[in-house]
Amino acid sequence: MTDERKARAQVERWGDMVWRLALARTRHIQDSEDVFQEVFARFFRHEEELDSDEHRKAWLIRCTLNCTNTLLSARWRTHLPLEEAVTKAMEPADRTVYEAVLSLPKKYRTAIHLHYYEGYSVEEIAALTGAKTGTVKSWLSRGRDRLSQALKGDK
Amino acid sequence: MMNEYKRANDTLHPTHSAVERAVRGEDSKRKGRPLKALVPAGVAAVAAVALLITGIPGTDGETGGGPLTGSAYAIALPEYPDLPKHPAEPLGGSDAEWEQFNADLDVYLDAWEAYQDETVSLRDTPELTAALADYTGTSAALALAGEGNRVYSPVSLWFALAMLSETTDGETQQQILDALGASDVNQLREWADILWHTLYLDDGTAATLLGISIWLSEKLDFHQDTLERLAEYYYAGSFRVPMGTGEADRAITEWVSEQTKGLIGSDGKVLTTRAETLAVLASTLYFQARWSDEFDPSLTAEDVFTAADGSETTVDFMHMTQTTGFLRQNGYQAASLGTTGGTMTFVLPDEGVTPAELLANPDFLTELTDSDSKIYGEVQWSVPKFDVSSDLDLIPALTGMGITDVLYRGTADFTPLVDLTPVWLEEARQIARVKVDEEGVEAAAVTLLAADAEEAIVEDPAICVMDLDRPFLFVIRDGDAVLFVGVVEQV
Repeated sequence: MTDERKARAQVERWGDMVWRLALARTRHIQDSEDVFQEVFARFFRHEEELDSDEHRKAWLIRCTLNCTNTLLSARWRTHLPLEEAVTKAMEPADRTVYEAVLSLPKKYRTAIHLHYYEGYSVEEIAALTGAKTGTVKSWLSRGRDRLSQALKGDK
Repeated sequence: MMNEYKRANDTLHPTHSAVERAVRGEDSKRKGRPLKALVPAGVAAVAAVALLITGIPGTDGETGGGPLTGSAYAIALPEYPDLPKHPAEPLGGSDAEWEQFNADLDVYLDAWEAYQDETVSLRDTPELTAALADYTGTSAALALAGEGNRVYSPVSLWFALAMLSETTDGETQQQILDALGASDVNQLREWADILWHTLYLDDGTAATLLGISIWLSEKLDFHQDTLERLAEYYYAGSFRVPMGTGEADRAITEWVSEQTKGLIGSDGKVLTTRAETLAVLASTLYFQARWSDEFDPSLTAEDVFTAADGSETTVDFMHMTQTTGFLRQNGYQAASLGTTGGTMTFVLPDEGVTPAELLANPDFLTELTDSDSKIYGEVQWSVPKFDVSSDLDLIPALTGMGITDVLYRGTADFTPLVDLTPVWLEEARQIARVKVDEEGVEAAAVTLLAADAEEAIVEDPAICVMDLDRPFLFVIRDGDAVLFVGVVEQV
């Protein structure tokens, strides 16, 4: 059990990261809220085993990926358009790209988010997702290709 | 491109409510396992065993007391344990409400623990566990021989047979003790107590209720001490009714219906007594629980089920994917779904293998619990919603188990029950019904997932496709006790 103050500090430290990944995966605010709560609930149970920030970050990412895996299996959810509430604080040019990334297939947008936003290498992403490095490379390159195609149309 | 993506993400922050929920942490509020809304559904299974004992009243039979009115059939009624219900979580409630919930939960857990401590547990009684496994394997193969949908409850018959052993003597009794694996009646009484304590469950989230009764002909005197023993050791209620009348049939049917919450006996009588019927031993087992991981109703879709005879029907199939353990054995594959009252294992025979062939192996049911052989991976479930019933004649099963003397007027010894002779067991039937469906949408929305955070996402997990679109078996067990075994050949 965690003291509320300590818990709040942890949520403030890691919350943005978990939130942004959850959104990239679920594309839905309410699902992200559920995932967010679940991830931290598990995090607080396992905190003692995590001995460095690097370890904590990787653990939280893997947990978020796992949590958003099963939710996404619900067929009807995958066709939800991105909520306006998610993008309202973005500059229009940024929003266009953000929406384009989130329209990519789940694996591509996951790889792109972890590489370009969280700064993980191909090998690190492979470790986090359990995929082979070759697979991750192809997710990234195909993701980028599709993205340019999609954005060419707008520019 | 990526700079825009980065800037876009930088504007994103968790909502206030997400932060508060995470900070307060569900775990710090709830000691027990997460509880879903108390919605009845998921799995409901019932069985009622009726053993009819017939005799020919001679002149030494006394006419019993005057006619008994409606509810006054009862001679003795058992006292069920008085245990608290599982408290409901005050979702979204105040701190004070959560504190009260925790206090109530402690009371609940303490009471049930104390109840379980009244006897040794089934786990700690290897002799009973082994005897039960033997009895279950043998009886299931016999009881489920035949065709069509059939459901059998080993536990329900066990209690009926245990009661039968109390009312018989000599070789008649010995055959029953042998079939149950008990060395003598005292051991059987101890075992009955242990089993009862192990199985009894009625806490508002799930129920496993054993109902046991003996119905006696008004025309005769029965040995009071035997009836008292039945009440004491088997929680058996005893009743006197005018056998051979609609009134008696209705009374027994009503009792069955009450014990099974209407799943059996609410649309017609379950048996027909005759004037010569001396006694009916009836035992029921009611089981109701929710899936530990509910099926999302939005994933339910119609699909084709191909019955044993090749005919096709279109029914609703529920879908779910889980990361869990499954078995691939010679002739079948099997995987389990947890419920709040026990585990339900589904067995899909390989193409060309029939359920009967699998059951013919007396170790089959035990093999299903072999965790060493489990493969850990992804199970893709397609489970038809079903509601199957059966009415099994258990006489062949009793005969197959070596219980024969009790069935014939020349050999049956019912002296502990009644002085009259000849008396024999004329009919032994088990009626059962099992219904399976998804959980309510409300609960599904709250459910998150089964995946453990420590697992890496496996790229190519071993996949088990449990597509139950042809005849399959199921087993519902509570620990080492098998509550139901069923064969579904058409839905």
